[in-house]
Amino acid sequence: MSGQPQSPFFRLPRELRDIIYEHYAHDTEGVFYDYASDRLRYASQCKHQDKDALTRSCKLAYGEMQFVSVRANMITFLPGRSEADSITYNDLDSKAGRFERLVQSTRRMKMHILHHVAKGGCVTPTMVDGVALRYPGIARYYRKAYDAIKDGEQLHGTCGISDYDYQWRWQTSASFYDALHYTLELAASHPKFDELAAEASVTPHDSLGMMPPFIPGSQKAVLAWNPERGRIPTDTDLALECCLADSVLRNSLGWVDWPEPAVPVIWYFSATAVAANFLKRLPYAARMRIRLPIVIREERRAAEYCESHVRAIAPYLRENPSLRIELYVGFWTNLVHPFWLESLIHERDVGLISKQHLLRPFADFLDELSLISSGPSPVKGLSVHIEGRMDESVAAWGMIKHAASL
Amino acid sequence: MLHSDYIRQHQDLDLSKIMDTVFYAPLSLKALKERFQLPCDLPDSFVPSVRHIIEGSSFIHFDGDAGTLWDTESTRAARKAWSPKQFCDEWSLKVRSGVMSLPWGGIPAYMKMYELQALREASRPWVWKSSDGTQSLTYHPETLASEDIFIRNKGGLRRRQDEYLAREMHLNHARDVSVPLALHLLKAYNHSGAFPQVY
Repeated sequence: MSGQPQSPFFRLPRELRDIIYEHYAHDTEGVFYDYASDRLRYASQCKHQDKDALTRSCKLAYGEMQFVSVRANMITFLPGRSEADSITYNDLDSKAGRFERLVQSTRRMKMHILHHVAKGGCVTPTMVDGVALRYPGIARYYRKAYDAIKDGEQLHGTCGISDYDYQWRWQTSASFYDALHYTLELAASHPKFDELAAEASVTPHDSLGMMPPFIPGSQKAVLAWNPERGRIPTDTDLALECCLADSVLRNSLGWVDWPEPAVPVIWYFSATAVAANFLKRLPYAARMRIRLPIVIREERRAAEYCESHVRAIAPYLRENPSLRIELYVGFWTNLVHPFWLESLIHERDVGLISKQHLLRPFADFLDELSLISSGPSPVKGLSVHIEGRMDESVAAWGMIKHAASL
Repeated sequence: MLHSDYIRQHQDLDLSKIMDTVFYAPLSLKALKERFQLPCDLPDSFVPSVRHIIEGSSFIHFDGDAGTLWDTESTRAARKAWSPKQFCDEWSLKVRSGVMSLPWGGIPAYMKMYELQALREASRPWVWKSSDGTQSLTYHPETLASEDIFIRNKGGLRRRQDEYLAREMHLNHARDVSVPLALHLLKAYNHSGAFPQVY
């Protein structure tokens, strides 16, 4: 029995009212999630006001209409522009930028620690085999990289990657990060591990005496840090920032390290991460009643290994077999190496991009999709659309096919 | 090819014994630096995924003409007697050192899209001069992503770069110099600023 028996509408059974609510809230264009306001919005302000009128005029209807727009509409998610959406820390007020800085700084630090503990005998061949087995998509590269990290020359040497990590980093992937993290977890059982990790935190990580990106003694906090992929970070995730070293580190020649992140730029959370964050906060019952497709449009390159963010929506597809998600991606939108962040010198190469800058993100993206769509609990209900209308996209696809054929 | 026995055995190759066509050093010296040195470095899922997309049997769709499948048999037959070095050379030539054209607007368009306002050299203007001295450009970091640069890049540059690339490829074929080397030179030219840009 509803609380307003004088109203003919509220004398109707709740099931009928729900149908009416859904009809009222439905729009053929669906609704869009707005990251900045954390609200679902209709296509136009006028439409939004119309569809919102009932909830504004009746408290009871407002209560009963919770999540109606979610189940009555197709929901579209776009990348979340992360600007002034958090406190300012080391000149960054972008939560996505701050998260990216932590991801890359911890990745560098973990590689540095791995060098020390591998040199010190904490990592056995069986451990390396175990990691390679757990991360098959990156297995061959992981083995090569592990040997090189242990040796140290390609990491810390005169022409080592530490000197130009801001360019090299885009070859890494979420799987590589995970493999690195897992190796250190396995190695941590060695009695000398803590001592060697502590030694790493006070040892330069390049040939010119540049110190690591975290303050001495913070190695345990760094080693423990490994947030899930494809999520909007919480304050707890970002708390590790208090262990970051001076943002303008200098080497023995007085040269400044490339700051993290590389340049002032607008950062984005991937549309997939935004969608996963939305679904996570939705009550279970509301998630299970979603009937219309969710559309995710990745129109920007996002922070934090965005190729891997499909992992974040997999649990919701498994939870609700009726859920349908359409994911739209593009070689030139989200699946491209962010070459514009590398260096001003690339301003001269205005018209060209290395094929590898497209191949790496695409190969990792396919591998992530392969992982969630196979195994004992493969996801159903996901369809992925790669933009293929632009001439350059057709050329990129041709290159991918060519690489596959060799 | 990726799943052929021949390619699979490349996974056990000693990279210190294969000379890199592009950098003239053993592949092992860049094992960390470069992720895809050989076709077998691609994830195992790569080839089947691409194949399923082309066949239309995947939940992943290319929203354009996905084309037809490659002919594995003839590719394999043509490479039957190849040494690992030849596979490496082919990969270097076709993929590792290859370049592609960016969509309209080039890098400035991306700088604009991501509102890139300052770079490492932001404390001073950066002057570019063409090799013949007839053209010059001074970059001011604060205008790097400006409408001005974006508009000036429209059109011409792509054509100039493509013409230059085509000319270099033609000349180097005529001189019997490897194409990877030509591409490497092209990059070097660009990095040195010797190749005149369109501005």
